Amino acid sequence: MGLVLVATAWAKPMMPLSLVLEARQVPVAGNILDLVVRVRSHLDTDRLELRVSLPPGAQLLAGEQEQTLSVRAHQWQRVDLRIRLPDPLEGYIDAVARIRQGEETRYTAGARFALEPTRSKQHIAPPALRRQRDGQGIREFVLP
Amino acid sequence: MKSRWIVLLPCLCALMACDGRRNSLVGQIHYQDWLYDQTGLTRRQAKPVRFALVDLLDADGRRLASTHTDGAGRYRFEGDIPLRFSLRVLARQDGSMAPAVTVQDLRGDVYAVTRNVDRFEPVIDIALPAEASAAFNLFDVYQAAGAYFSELSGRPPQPLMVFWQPGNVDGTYYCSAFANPGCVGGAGIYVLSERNGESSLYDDRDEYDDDVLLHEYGHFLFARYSRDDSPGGCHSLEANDQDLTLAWSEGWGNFFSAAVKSWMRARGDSALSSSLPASHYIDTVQSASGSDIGISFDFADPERNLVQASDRYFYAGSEVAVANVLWRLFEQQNTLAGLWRIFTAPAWRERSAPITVEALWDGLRDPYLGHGYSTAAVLPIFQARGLDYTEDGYEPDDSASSDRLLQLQQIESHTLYREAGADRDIFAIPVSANVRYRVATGKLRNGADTQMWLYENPGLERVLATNDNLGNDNMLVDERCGRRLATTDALASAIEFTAFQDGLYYIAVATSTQPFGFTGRYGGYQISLTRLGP
Repeated sequence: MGLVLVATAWAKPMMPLSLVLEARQVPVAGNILDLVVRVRSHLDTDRLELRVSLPPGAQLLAGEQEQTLSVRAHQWQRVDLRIRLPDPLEGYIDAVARIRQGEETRYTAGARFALEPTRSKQHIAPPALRRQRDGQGIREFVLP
Repeated sequence: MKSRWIVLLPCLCALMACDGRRNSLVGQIHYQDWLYDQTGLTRRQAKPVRFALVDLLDADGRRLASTHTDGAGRYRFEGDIPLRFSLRVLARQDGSMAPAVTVQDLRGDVYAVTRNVDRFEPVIDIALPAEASAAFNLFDVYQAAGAYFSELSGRPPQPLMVFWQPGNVDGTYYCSAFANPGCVGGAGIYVLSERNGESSLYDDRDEYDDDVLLHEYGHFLFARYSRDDSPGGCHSLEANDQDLTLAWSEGWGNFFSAAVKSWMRARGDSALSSSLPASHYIDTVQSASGSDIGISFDFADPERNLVQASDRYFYAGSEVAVANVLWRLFEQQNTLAGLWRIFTAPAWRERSAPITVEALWDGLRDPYLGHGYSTAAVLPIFQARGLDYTEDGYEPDDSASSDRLLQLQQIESHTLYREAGADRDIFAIPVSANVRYRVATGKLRNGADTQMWLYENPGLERVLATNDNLGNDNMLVDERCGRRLATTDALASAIEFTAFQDGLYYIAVATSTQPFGFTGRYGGYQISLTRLGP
């Protein structure tokens, strides 16, 4: 009989806030976007602050960019926004949800919606230093 | 002017042979840490690279000598030093002078920073660049945790492998062994480092989240030196109905992070990156505009984290309750030593029941373990988190008695706890012939898993009916994580029956004889008797 090793992975605590941005309609003529923000918390709270920021040139037609929500644990809460998008279409819609206790933030979650569908992903920044592998199992940064 | 050269030349020759070769080499190595508070990462601070391997390489990259930095990040080479050479500092310590830790990428390549030297400098200090500093913060945090363990146990910790690289999106966790996917490098701590770039508002990176990193070291220690029955996986600070083994293990991790920081603060250790109370756990997130808080939670005062009053941080299925109990026990002795004796005792490792907060309670009740705690002094700490490990007011009720009546529509609250051993609660129920009744447990607390037996006479010889669990297995699954739930009424019991005659029937309630591995031996329940008809 062989020894069976079972791997167990013990993880860090989950982030207790989830936030999803969804476009209900693809931008059409007039550049109107119906955006749904869905937020879910692991705890009941009446202090879930939701803030949606729009890119320059965008205009909020319906809904509220900033509001404090009362949510029940594990249930998705939906917030609807109608937005006139900028022309040309560029920038991001960002949403941030926070649960606060007094002035302090306890939990944060964020989501981003890109308004440039053809934009390709780019590296944030190339490494400033030359990095090399020496073939001996070393991931090496070489100082200039 | 001339006289200056007369003085200087012998000094230089002490460091450097007069043919230009030096015979000793000294310097100090620093990395860039991030300090943090309840708003996120706040500012960078240079900290010494402690106890790291330093190689001296010749111009062709051949290793000439090796040493380690000391506790202040200083290194020293003696002997014949060539004119042109390289210094390479590695995020590795072999255990010869400090806890054995290696930080590597997911391929298994060890992080290193190399500086090439081609001219004389009296002292060669190295400031690690930001790109490499994260690996050395991981190295330093685990040096501190290992040093704490060494002091606690009187021996060095087993070697720790740490796996990190920018772009790792798999999470932060400790793996006990190789598994694919997730634990491809084998046993060790894997560290999250999201780099979603422009596709996400926040990235979750943990390389500077010391509290998260220390939480995982707690798992490492328990896996190697104690016993951990937790299945691992996802878990939540906000849940109080988690698998008891999971809640215990994660509560321990949360607490351990605080214990290490408390010890570092007491020693004046400059490696500490936060001035918040040691019990305050921070997990940061990063956006293009800077750092923000992902989780900010003080385990010493869980209700401070609540916006609305709730029992969210109560009971054996809450990792916050477990962390809080451990923290308060730790504060009583200002050391982990007594608790560590419990966790490493044969009674813990060979315990027949699962390792949960109940095991801690049982350990504290065992004076022969030398932990130094008194049961009377620790009981309020448990009770403050709803962990009721006391006999209920109906005890002793473990034999049939016509005086111990459970009346119709009456609800009684019980614990499944006896000082002397397993608890069994026996109720006499007055019944009328040909009437149908339902007797049921419910409102289970602290992982209770009841089983119920129905008897028709006080001798309890013949079982008329028995029921273990009201629910099926599907009701025991946490939709958030796919994990088992320990405190759910699916684990409750109920029997419906029609009485044959007027008189007394008897009900016994005890912990399930076929328990799941994630429920408690103890816990609390309510019981009620209902007339169904006619």
